[in-house]
Amino acid sequence: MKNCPEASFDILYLLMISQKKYDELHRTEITLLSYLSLLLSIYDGHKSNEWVYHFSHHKFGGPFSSEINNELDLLIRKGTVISSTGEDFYTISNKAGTVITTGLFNEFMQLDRFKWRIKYLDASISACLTKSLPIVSRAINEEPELSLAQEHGIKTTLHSKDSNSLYEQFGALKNAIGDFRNDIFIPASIWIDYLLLLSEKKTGEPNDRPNTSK
Amino acid sequence: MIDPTLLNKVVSENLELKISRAFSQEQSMPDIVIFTSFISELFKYHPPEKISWNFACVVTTEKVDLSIGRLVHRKEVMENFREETCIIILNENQCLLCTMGQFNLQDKNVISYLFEHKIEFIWANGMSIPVTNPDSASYSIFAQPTFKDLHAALWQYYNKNARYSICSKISDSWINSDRLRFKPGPEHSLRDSLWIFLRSVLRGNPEVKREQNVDDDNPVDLKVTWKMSKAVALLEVKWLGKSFNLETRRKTSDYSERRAIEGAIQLRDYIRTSHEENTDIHFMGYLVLFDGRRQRIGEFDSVPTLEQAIFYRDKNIEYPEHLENDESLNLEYRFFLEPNLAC
Repeated sequence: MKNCPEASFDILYLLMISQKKYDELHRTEITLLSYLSLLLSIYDGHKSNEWVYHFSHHKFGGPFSSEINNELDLLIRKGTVISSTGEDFYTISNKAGTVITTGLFNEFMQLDRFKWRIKYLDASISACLTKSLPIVSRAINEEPELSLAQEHGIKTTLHSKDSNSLYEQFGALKNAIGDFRNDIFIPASIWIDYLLLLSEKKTGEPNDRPNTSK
Repeated sequence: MIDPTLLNKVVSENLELKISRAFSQEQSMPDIVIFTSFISELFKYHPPEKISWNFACVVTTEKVDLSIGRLVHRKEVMENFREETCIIILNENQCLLCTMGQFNLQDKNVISYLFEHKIEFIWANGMSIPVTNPDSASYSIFAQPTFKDLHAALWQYYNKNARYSICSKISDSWINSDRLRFKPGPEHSLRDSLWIFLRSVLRGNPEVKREQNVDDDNPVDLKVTWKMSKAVALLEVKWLGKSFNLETRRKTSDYSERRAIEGAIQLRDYIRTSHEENTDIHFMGYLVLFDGRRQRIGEFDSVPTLEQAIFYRDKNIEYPEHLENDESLNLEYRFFLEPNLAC
């Protein structure tokens, strides 16, 4: 399979900026946050093919990207990304971390090819700061195209064509809150909250766990 | 199709939007992302369940008088957060630590957060912003689910799987379906039943492992490690009741309250050892008791009355005060296994 520098960049950038909240990210969480970033770029007016790599639905639920998967494996083989426990949680290795913070990666960040993506990668992490990732994951499963693909077992690429349902949701969101293009994590956070409520409405129960603890 | 009722609900409740709207368009707003990422990072190092003191975090667009506190690097706050304090976040790297009450959290041009008795409050530009937590798995919207989620999962396990021995690993631990006497050595089956459950229900994919060594000689039954946090739970599983050998019809073990107390002491020692070896990790101990105690089952064939079979249902274990008051121990998980005398 051909290399995908955009997927590689997104993995490293997400691992780098998420460290404030998470020591490590699971493979599925890296995919989830990349997918959310793609959706936010669509919200902001980009076409999905500008994102360069693709997503489909994973048979166990959630988004899946073969490019993210392959690039992550490549980064692991190179020792740029490591797993402290041998399980599927990853962080940037110390050696790579030094390279990233001391310049080479910064140079990549300045290239137009990658630079425009940063806004959406940043927003996807920032929108999740007031939510737990399991909650975000549950919410994103309700995203119109992913939800449809899961319901009918459709294997095609998500958002390969314009998705009317997604545009309808984004349009309604923009009408409701106004223009937040400079703080795109705010509509992102609201949209995640909306999808979560939608998910709870479907299952019919917000939370059946007791709420008392020591 | 969009659901306008749901959309209106989230628009009226979303935290980031409410903070943003508390500031007028003419005002410059403090950086929300610096604010939320700081609190998230603090809870990564210090799970909210382990924070027994109150604290506040503040970002402001106003010039801060540095003489009211001590200027420190962000990292120092993360590493040495031990007591009540008000943290003024100056930028990505620097904070000013001052005493609570020294900074008015409800000032204009300020976004502030207060964690008081494990309840969260936020003010933006002097307006109170209600904090709704959609996920009861954590005390804070900024934290990942850890101990509180485990607490909820343990009770869920009891009610759904253990209480009526629904799980086959528990039902197979009894000599027969009346659930009065255990087979010899049921501990591994009981532990595995809980292990399987926790692996599938705990949020955020924590690592759940069996028989993890705490020191050179002693393994703890279950260890839960949350990757996104510095939280680790050690679970010691004990069973109470009597076990019999089916062939010889002789009693092989008889465990009562003393067994539970020994388990609590053992767990406390595990926590101490673990903490000494990993001072930056927050360990919490959970003693899980599978309580199959019955009255009048001393002989293999004796049949107790229903009252005798459920005599221990509400008989809690009386732990010594020093164990009961140990903040790192959770001793409330006595899972009384119901008998089945209708069979």
